[in-house]
Amino acid sequence: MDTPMPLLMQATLAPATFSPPASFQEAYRDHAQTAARWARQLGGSDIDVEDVVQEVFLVVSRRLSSFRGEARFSSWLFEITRKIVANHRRRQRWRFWRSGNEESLSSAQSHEIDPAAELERRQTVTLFYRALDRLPDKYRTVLVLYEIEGLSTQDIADLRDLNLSTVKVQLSRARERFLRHYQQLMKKGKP
Amino acid sequence: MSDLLPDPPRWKERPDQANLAEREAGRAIRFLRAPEPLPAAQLTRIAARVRAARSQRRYFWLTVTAAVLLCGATVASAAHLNVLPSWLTRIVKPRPVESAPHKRALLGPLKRTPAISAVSAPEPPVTNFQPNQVPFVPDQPAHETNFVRPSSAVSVVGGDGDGRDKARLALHKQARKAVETTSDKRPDSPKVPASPAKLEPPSAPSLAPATAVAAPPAAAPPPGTRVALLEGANPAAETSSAQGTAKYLSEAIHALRVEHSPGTALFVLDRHATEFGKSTFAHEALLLRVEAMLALGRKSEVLRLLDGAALTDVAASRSLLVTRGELRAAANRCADGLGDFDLVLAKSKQADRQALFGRAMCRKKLGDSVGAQADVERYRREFPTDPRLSDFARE
Repeated sequence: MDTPMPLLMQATLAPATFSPPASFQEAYRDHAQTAARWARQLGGSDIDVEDVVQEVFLVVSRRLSSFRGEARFSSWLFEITRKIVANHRRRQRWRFWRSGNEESLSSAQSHEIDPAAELERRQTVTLFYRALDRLPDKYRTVLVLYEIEGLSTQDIADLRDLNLSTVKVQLSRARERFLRHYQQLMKKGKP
Repeated sequence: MSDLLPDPPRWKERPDQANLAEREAGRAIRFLRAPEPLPAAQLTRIAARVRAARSQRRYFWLTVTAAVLLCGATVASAAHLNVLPSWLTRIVKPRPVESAPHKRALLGPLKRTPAISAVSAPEPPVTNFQPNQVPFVPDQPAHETNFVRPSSAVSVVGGDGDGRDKARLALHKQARKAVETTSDKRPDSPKVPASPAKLEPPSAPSLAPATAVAAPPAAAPPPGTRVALLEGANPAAETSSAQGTAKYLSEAIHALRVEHSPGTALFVLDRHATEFGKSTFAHEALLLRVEAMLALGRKSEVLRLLDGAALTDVAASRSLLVTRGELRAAANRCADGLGDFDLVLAKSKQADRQALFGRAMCRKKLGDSVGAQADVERYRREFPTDPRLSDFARE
């Protein structure tokens, strides 16, 4: 199947990402959209992308001078984004747990005209993210990158600076655990 | 897991697979839309917020650094550690430096603060007055009074000891009398423009009566006028230097005698030394420094200091000589200490109690039994009720 390369992959594998940007402005100009995309994919539709991107680039502005170029800049940026998204999700869960408002966890944006189809879509997506939320962070990340973003295991290994074998093992376990949680949620019948 | 294994098929690419969970997961992923890129306005807003957060963070650390520095300066100042630059200590350690001299001026030049240690108190600044000077104007604050030390004046550290004390006493009496006379005559005194009056320099450093100060109405300055004796190349600088020195010394005396804080006194004296170096009152500063260091128990440092000091004027440096002799004797340098005690005892008619005691002990240690016995006999004769006699008996 000849599918176009995902945007994330294009951004990740672009030659410019192999060398660190010269300044913060350059980093922001070249990678802000990429970080926003990562944030949305890792955090789901409930994540406040603007906040995440701001925090990511605040960290980048502080630590860019100490970036030694041993890893790819995109890997470094992805790790920052992943940690910040994880923090946001943790805070979000805590906030929802305190307020008891669980339904708003996956309030996907509506673009459908048909209300029934939109309701089904929202329930499916909510169920998916609910099962995803039960995974540990490393499994969630690799599953999102592989299943949603469409990166190959080699790309994920490059992006996360991991061994290919490690990525494959993590992916296998992530899929297994996800399906187990997903089946449980489907049996309960509630999103 | 082998690297050679191909990637597993993605859920979203197999809508017809048998596993229900995988099929539903693939359907959910297909429902997810590709995230739209952030609009340019939002990117600009995020960049502005990042910039603002960065500056806020910088201010935060600046504030923290300033607070830490201030706390450190306060602690160092409170602990009397002389580790800070003078400009900083001036900020964190505001002290009314003029209070002590003002009080002393109100008490009068002869009322001296009693000494609490073996070292005698430093001379007050008024000891430099000459008969031809108007030493003190009551309406004027003491710290504003110009103290001028003419080059022909008798040095504080010079002259014969007993004679000098008597002369100084007479000077004080005359000066006080002159001030009282001036005060009494104030209502009748003519109005003179408030400009610094210029007095004729003294013809000779003699102990002439001070009536000349208050006698001619034209020459006498009006109340509140600064009196400056112009003799020397730069009297203004010399006057301000003497004023500053007097302030520092009074502050040190206050710290030492009133606050009982020798550390503060040393701190002030260090500042004085930094600012003025070898000043008019260097001898007084040395006396105070020795007293403060002894109070802090820094005897070895005192000995090093006094070993390097040229105590040629025996009369003025009697207490320092005795202290140095005692410290030398305590450091098993009785031969050196004996020289100091000999100097003190040779120059004074009345025996100095500490010097006599010290010399007797040193002679005893050096094996001069006859000399030691003679000193003990003299001590018994001159100080028959002194409790130290039992020390002699024990020795």
